[in-house]
Amino acid sequence: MVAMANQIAKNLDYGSDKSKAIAGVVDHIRRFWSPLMLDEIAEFISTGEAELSTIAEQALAQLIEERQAAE
Amino acid sequence: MTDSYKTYRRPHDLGTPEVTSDNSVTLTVDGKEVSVPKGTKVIRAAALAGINIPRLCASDSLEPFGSCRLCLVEIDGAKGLPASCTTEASEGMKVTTQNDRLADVRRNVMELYISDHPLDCLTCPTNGDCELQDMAGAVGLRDVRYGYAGENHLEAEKDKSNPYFTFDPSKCIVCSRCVRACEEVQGTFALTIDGRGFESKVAASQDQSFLDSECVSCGACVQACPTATLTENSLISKGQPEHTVITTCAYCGVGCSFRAEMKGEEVVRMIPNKDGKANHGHSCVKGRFAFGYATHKDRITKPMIRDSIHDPWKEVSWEEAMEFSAAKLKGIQSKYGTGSIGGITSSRCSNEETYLVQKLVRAGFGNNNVDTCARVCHSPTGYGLKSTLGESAGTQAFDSVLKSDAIMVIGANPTEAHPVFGSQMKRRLREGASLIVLDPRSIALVKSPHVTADYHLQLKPGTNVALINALAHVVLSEGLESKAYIEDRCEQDAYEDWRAFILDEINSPESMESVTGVPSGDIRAAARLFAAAPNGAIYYGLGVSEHSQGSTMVMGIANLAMATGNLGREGVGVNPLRGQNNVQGACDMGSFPHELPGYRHVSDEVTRTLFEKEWGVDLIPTPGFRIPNMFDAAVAGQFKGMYVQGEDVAQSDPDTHHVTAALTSLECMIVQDLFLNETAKFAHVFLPGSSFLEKNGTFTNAERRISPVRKVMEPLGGYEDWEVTQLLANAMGYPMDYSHPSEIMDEIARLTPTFKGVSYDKLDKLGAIQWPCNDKAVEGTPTMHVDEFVRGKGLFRLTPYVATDERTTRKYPLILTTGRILSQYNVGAQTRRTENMTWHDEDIIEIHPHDAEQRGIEQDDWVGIKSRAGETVLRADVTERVQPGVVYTTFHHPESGANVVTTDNSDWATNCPEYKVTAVQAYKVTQLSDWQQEFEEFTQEQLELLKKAKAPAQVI
Ligand code: SF4
Ligand code: SF4
Ligand code: SF4
Ligand code: FES
Repeated sequence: MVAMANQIAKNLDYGSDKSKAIAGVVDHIRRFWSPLMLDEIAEFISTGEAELSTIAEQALAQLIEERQAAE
Repeated sequence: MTDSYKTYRRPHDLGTPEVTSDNSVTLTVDGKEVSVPKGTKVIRAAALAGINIPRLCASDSLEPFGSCRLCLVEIDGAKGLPASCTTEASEGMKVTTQNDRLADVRRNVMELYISDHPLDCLTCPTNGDCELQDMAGAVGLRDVRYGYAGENHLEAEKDKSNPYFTFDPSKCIVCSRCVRACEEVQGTFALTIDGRGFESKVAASQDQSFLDSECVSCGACVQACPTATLTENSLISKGQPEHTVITTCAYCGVGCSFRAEMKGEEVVRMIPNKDGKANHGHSCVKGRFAFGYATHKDRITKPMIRDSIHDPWKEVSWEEAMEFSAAKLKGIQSKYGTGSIGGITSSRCSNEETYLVQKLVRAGFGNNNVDTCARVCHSPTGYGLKSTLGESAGTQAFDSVLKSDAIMVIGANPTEAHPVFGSQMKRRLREGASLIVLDPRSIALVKSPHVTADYHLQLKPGTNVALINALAHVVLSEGLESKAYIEDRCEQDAYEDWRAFILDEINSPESMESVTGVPSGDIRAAARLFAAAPNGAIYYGLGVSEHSQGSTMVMGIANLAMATGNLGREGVGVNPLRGQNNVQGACDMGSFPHELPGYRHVSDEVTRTLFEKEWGVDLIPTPGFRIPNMFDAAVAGQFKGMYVQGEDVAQSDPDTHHVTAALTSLECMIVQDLFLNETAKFAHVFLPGSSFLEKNGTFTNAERRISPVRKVMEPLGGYEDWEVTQLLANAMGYPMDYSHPSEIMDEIARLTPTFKGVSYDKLDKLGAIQWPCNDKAVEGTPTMHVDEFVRGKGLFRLTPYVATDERTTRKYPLILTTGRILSQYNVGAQTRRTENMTWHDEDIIEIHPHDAEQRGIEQDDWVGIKSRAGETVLRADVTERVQPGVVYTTFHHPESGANVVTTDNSDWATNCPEYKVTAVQAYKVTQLSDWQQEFEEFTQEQLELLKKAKAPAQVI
């Protein structure tokens, strides 16, 4: 899943506008990932072992926060 | 009884093909006045006036040839007796088709034919349905003055090499209809008339047997033959049919319409329907001949259950199977949660069946864990086209290609995978359209009789996006784009962004040359050719979608089409060539975990409410698991139960080791299929499926055409597939009560705007309907995006090239890419159970002579193929069809384990697996791989367990 998130970030990252890329990743994951997958990756991130690119990391942080707020 | 069910009669033939013209001419035939389009031949004009002129060499599916001289007529003011099949009708013409003089001449002609023809009519297979017989009757032939003992061909030997038809030259009248059918309809040019005069005869290729010749066994010649010379073997053994039913082929995304010619509940033969709008009376070997699997002895027709996959199967009643399944699934849900089970829909099943499975999952299971095998072939199309143009489907009808001037074929092999459309495309190419092929392999289209690609951009596998960007770069940097079109139809800001991105020097053909391996000069020339064509059309296949950048490539294709103004009319467009018959339909029907039917996201409140009202349940607003996620969750112990309809996930999904681990960890796997497929070997419940001959429903082909599938025989297992889903839903406590699939279609129409106007009544009336079909387009929509795009303005999306993580290394220096071939169909569960095995009895690995030599591999050697995921062994075909550094195989046979080698890499946006690129090593071996040996053992074990289900119960 970490690889998937990084891959999404890489494909949506073009040009200098990083916030656009992050928004793109957030939107993409929200549309296509099951919340259960988010839970799982959140757990993995908390172990500190997830090697995420900056964009993927920031996007996921935002999504996980959203998810926790909703619960 | 609908119009589709008819007493058997040979379809009426008008003698010559239809002509379209704005001008018409009026003539008189035997005193009857008739107006026809200018250019129409006299024979057809007469037929339109209801007068049938005798003929043997003419047919309305072929260009006239004028050889038999039976269709002679008298025309006022004309000399002699012109042939009506080659004479054009003209204004004021007066034609006489019957008088004593004509009758005499015709009788003489027939007499000559019959003197060289065996008179065994009573025992001839086409007795009762033979044009020669009919003509002898029509001209009143009573005697043959030359006697029957003169020189003749009665001793000529039959050619029975083809498993599906027989060639009996003694009955040939050398009318050359077969030769013309092979050229004009099929485009293979396998047949010729050898010799002259009395010596002349039909020959396949260089006087070879049909099987050894170029013949691809499409059957067009058999259908065209007016005598018993070329005859289907099924007709020879079964005799003449008595009724016909119109239905749709269940093999590929062309969706050919067929007349099933029946004798009671038995199919005598399948004849492509002349009125079929996708195929116009043509078909390929699969649809026409390979229907024997439906009654194959391996079919399982009784439900079976077992507690563990190492237990023997036990045949049970439907009730017991349903109780067992429902109890298991409910047990799993109460132990592991609502989200611990899911369902897989099949792109081989009908729209109605697919719709019902996703409904069962969303409403009955209470989650969104539904996915389809289309994931593994076409989800990138949905994503890419939806985000740029606004609709997840191809933009054209197949006929559109007949108006194209430049055709670009990307990662598709239409002559093999979509043969009937391939033939249509070839016809257009012979008429002069130019052809650009983007493919790592030298596919048949690149060079075949009378067709040669103008450019074959033979790129390295995995570099599609780099190449499409380079093509766009040429268009923009040389000012070849359609400025007015872009301004009028597309979002300007997005266009400007895209323009700046594409014009970046990194996207120039020169910089991309080292990435793609394609000479920059060729890229430039191909781009100029495509941009300059009045109508440029793009066709693409799995070679586009099955990559880590599949979705990006689809967007790149849409970008190029928009930039060159090639969308929204006939002759242009972006056209995915779908693999299986109902990939389009399965996607339309809400088979993806994030989308309700009609491609509407589950988070869309308005849509969800609509479904909640109709279904009487609350629906979940967040996406469920996709197939790969299900497998991951299964391995992690969170996902425990699956209902799989008509799909072989164990074989068609990549990385077999991972899939096997997932499947063995399930507590309840329910498989509904015709055969004990690979997935069923991991199942606890087996529910007998029904073939397309045993059920009613609809399929939707690659051009969005919804075509009816009609039941011609009772289901062997007792239920149609949709009925089985309904039983399971009821057993699970979610009530369903449909009495016919038409009611399911009515529900789909109520809930899905693009299907609003679709109904079985309308399908019966129109034959087929291309969606969208609604108040604005009452009879459907052949061409999409005509005045504006579905999403309003077209959206250019940025498509940066990101190299796949799958790279060659010292350890794995070759790239493996996969594909399919004509006579077999995807994982081949059906075709492997037909005579199509004659052409393809094992998967082979194609390797370039240079790579083979380095490894000491020779033709037909066993070759080990190893990737980081696994290894398998295949037989070698040393050939220059592949480039050095690339090896190629098909995956039709489970034991070849092509997917043991493919990895879990996938498309970034949709997780469509990257089948097309795997880094491997190849080496010579002497025995099967470990995996193959284990596979053999497991298969043997499962077959033993199946046998026990059939063995009589032991008396204790
Ligand atoms: S079966 Fe098809 S390919 Fe073969 S000879 Fe006949 S028309 Fe040609
Ligand atoms: S094989 Fe049939 S179609 Fe071909 S030339 Fe002979 S009679 Fe005509
Ligand atoms: S082209 Fe496709 S739909 Fe047509 S007959 Fe062949 S397999 Fe069937
Ligand atoms: S039908 Fe016209 S010449 Fe044969």
